[in-house]
Formats: sequence, structure tokens, C-alpha cells
Amino acid sequence: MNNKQLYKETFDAMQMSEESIRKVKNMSEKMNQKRRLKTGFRAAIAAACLVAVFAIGNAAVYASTGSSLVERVSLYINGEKTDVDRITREKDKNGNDYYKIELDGKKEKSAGISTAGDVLNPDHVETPDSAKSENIPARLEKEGRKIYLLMEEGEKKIDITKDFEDGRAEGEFQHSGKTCRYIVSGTVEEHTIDIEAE
Amino acid sequence: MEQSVYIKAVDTHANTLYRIARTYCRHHADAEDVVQTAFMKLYETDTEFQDDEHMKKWLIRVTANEAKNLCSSFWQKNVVPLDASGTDQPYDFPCPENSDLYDAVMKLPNKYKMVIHLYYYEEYSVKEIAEILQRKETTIQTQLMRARRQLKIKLKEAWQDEQ
Repeated sequence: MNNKQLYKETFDAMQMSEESIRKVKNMSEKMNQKRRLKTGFRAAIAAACLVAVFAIGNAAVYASTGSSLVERVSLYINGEKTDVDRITREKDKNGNDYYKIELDGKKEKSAGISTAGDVLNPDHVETPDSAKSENIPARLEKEGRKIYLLMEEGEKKIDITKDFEDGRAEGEFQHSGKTCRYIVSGTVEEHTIDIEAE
Repeated sequence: MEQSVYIKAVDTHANTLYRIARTYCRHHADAEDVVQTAFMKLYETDTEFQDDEHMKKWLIRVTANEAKNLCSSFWQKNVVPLDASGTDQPYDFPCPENSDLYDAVMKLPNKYKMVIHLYYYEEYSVKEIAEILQRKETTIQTQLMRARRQLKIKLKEAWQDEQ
């Protein structure tokens, strides 16, 4: 028997136990589980880091500017504070742009601001900015069969009966030396008055 | 690494690695730990193996390094287990020459054990051993020669003279 044969015969007796081999084989499954856990843990840490960075950034911005990165927009409608969920820009039937504001997650409870800056309340009754700026309070009044547009607390009274028959009345009037233009649309009960100074 | 490839590698190479680890480590449990670590590294490695032989050489190198790291630590060198069964396990050798050779090899310095084992058991050439252990060919040749000489002194007639 030569040296190689003797050596091989001797060390052939050295065998790893079956149980140890089985353990080594099962290690791969354990490592897979660990790897999955590790991946999940890493993702959670990354998410936590992002949140932390955002929070720190927000705090830093708040400290330096006095306002945070994320702000809750609220509107006061009829004196009631209402949170704004979403603002979208849309077009009306006439092709005019307006902003639709969703309040408290309810679409039906919405208000709008026209691009001209006029504020629409939840009942879609327009309160013109121009009228406000000119301080011209305006309202409709029905006297018998006549319909009047009353302005300046009744000092100015325009008969719009005929004009308003088709649901829309337009005209001009003088106010403080300026020519103002009014547009009344809708019905006597539910209408919109738009007054613009030219 | 795919599960099926890993399982096949364990089936094929577990005993080879165990023998290599066992030549380094005095304790059976340490050798098994070394083998487990080597296979864990295999499972996690991104190395693309050209063939089974390439994988085997890679595993041998990892096992040798792991065994060196584990068995050359201060703890391993200086701590003797209370349980006598935890030390070197005797094997059922067919004849006394095997037992003598086993004892003689285990008493060799660690740097010679690996070279002797790879040469006589795995039948690698000096060049291949040099590649696996990342040493010079001349170093391997010298270590092989010295190891043979020591074995000859211990085993006398049982170990044949070689060039």
C-alpha cells in the first residue's frame, strides 16, 4: 500500500455526521428567513429615516420662517371654520376657469373661487369681490310683478323685470363717478348678482 | 445562490470540508462550525463559479481560512474542555497503521497538515495547492518535503520514501 492509499484509507473514516449535514442544508432556509426579515427591517428603517428627515426639515423650516412645509388650509364660510381637503381648477359651461374646493372630504359640500376672484359660498350664491370693493350692497326685490335690483341700500333701484324674463339681466349704472356693470342671473329666489366697475 | 445548487454542494463537499477543518481543529464541534460557516459564505457569495471544481477550491480556501481564524484564537489555544469527549474523537481504523498515521498527521504543525491533506487525500498537485492556499509553489514544495520527513520519522517503515 503506497502513502496515498494509506492516507486515504485513514482519513476516509472522518465523516461529518448525517445530522450535521442536515443542519447545514437547513441553514439556507433560515438564512432566507433572516434575509427577508432583514429586508423588511431595512425598509422600515428607511421609512422611519424619511419621516424623521421630513419632521426635522419641517421643524427647521418652521423655526426659520414661522410656517411649516405642510399647511392646513381653512376657509371661513358663513363664519364657520372649514378645512379644505382639495383644490382643483375646472372650467364652467361658458369656458371660464374656476377653482373647486372640496371641504371636509365631502364633494357636495363645496365652495369655489372664480378666477376673477369672486367668492362662491356653499350655496353657489356669488358675492362679487368687485361689489365688495366698491361697497355696493345689492339685492333683488320683488314688488308685485316688478323685479328691482336694489343697490346702495335701496338708494339705487333698477327695474330689471323685462330684462330678467329670460333669467339674465345685464346693464350699467353710475356709482361714485364710475360706470359699473351688473349681471343678474338665476331666479328671484336663487340668483347671482355680479357687479364690476369698468 | 439557488437552493438546489446549495443542497447539491453540501451533499458533494461537506465531508471534504469537514476533513480539512478537522485537520486544523482539535475538536469535532469546532470543525463542524467551520464547515457551517464555509457553507453560509457559499450561500451568500456573489461569486460565479465556472464549474464544480472551481466551487470546491473556493470552499477549501474559505474552510482553511475559517479554521485558521477559529483554531488559532487565544481561547482555542488555551482552553481545555472539561468533557473529555469534546476533544479529539478516535475513529475506528481498520489497522494500526491508520491509527499511527492519523496521530502523526494530527501532531504536524498546522501549516503542514493542510498541504499534506490536499496532496495525499484530495490529490491536488503542488501548483494547485499553491493556488488554493495562495502561497508560492516553492513554499508548498518545502512544506510538503518537511511534512513527509516528519511523518517518516514517526511512522518509519509504514511511510514510504518519496522524492
